[in-house]
Amino acid sequence: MTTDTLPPLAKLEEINDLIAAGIDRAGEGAELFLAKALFHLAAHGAEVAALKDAIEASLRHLPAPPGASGA
Amino acid sequence: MHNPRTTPRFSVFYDYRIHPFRRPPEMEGAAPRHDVVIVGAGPVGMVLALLLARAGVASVLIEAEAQVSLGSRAVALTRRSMEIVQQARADAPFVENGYGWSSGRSFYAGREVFRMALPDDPDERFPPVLNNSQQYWEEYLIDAIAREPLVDLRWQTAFHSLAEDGEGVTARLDTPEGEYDIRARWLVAADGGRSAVRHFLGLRMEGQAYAGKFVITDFVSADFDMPTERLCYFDPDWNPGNNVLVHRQPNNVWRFDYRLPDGEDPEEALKPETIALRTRRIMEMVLGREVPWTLDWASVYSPNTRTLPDYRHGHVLFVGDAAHLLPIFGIRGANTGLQDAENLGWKLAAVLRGRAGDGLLDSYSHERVAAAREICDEAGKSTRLMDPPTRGYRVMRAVILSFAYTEDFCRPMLHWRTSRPHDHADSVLNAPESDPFAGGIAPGSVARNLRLGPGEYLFDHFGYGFTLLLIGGAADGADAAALKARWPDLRVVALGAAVTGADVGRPAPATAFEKYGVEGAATYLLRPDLHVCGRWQGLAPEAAGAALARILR
Repeated sequence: MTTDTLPPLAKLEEINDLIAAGIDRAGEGAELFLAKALFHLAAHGAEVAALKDAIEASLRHLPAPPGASGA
Repeated sequence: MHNPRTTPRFSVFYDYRIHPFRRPPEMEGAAPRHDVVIVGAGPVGMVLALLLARAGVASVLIEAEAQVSLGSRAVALTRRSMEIVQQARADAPFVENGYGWSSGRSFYAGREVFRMALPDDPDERFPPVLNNSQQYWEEYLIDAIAREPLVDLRWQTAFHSLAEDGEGVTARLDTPEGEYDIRARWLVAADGGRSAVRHFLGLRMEGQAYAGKFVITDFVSADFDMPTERLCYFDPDWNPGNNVLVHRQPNNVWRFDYRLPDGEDPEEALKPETIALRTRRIMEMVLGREVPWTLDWASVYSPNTRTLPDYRHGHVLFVGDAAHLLPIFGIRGANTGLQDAENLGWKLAAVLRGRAGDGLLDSYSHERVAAAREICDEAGKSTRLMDPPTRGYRVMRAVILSFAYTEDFCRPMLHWRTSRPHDHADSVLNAPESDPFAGGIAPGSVARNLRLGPGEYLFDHFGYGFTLLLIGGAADGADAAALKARWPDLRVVALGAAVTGADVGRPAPATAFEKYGVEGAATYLLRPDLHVCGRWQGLAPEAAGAALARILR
């Protein structure tokens, strides 16, 4: 993505606030909430290829799962 | 009886001077009514006193302590603040001794993930930000006040109580030799975040207080050698989920700010052995090794984004931290307070000199409360990243930092939103826009400086009154003599314009046309606080005079 096509900061901030508020409202169901939100978003507009890109980008730099130390 | 500490505070690099208490005329039976009493001789109160003096208004400035404040505190002054200090005629030692900087870097897990350069160009007299310890800022202002006969600075004098008395305010003050009453037409509370005046009046702030606790440490080290810039380290190994800020000051003084792990007792965090361990860990993170250092000062604070909803209460006015509490991320505290002082000073002077009714002071409150609310909103965004208030924001912080490695789109979220001047776009003082401008500076926004020659800048020619700025149109000519006759304090500055009655005439630099949106010629009326009051195409002193007449008699 080049700097010419970056979303404006105000849009990023609004997205950030909306997702943060959603996680807070979901409480213990946050993981399910996030998966539902992503599924809903993808089903209603995003190309499958874009969803794959988003998933691959989001899988990078995740903390190691429990019990995976030293892997 | 008020008995402040009269032994010098401890510092390994700064020699504290004790300022004696001197009995004022009121304790000898005099009962003058002063124009202005300012409570609190911090940077904001002192700059306000100097600006009032520049406008010809005398003030009494009272300070509860006997010496300047402890620690680096308001370590970084913005260019806008330095322009205000220049108007107060105190800028030389700030520039001579401060460290200027214009960029910052953010790191996550040992890698640089964001770099920001603050706007800068050759038209600017001052660097984007200037660093020094607040003790020095205060010392330079005390020196300026010592040269100013219109400021009566009274040390070791604490505010006790006040009453409106029909013509203004009578305040009871407390000193090492007992209490006395002082009468003033106006009292300005510049007494900081724990304002005694605000507490006495029972005023409540609106906004949000954050739970996170941050430690500030100042230390001296000749071997901690880094450039002067703003450094931020997210999620260091020794403090996951938190962050460290690093600022360089003159005299080999450095400042670390870091968020404490949730639940940690602040007293434990300030123990020398705890600070020693964390300082070592931060040095190892930044430099790769610990270098010799000596602690000077440490303190704990929690961020707030809070403001009074009104800065005027009868004849009492609030400025600075007494009026609003802002987090340090983005260097907003003192820098916002100095803009309050600049906004209030000229309005108070106009009212006291009979040039305007006291309704003008309502515009102070309207403009600066709006500014504080906008700043609280901006600061809140920074603070939610630095001190996430909920699980949702903690998750999103992790998302932003994780994406910052690889995804350009997310990095702007790491911007710390440095303090900037508020645009008073909806001010009642703005003249309606009657002429179309393609760009330039809209009414309510702050004027921009211009380099006129070697070491000479546009703002050098402004006083602390209104300025009529005429740009271009040399062939047309204009006459400002009638305006000068009606408002002798008006400064008329002509750039590339033939203007009768101009105080200053210079060729217009090429950048003037771009920055002020001038195609042929244009007229700008600037307020004393450098905000644009109105603008017109062509050389139009009459239109500017009509706009000025709406504000000043």
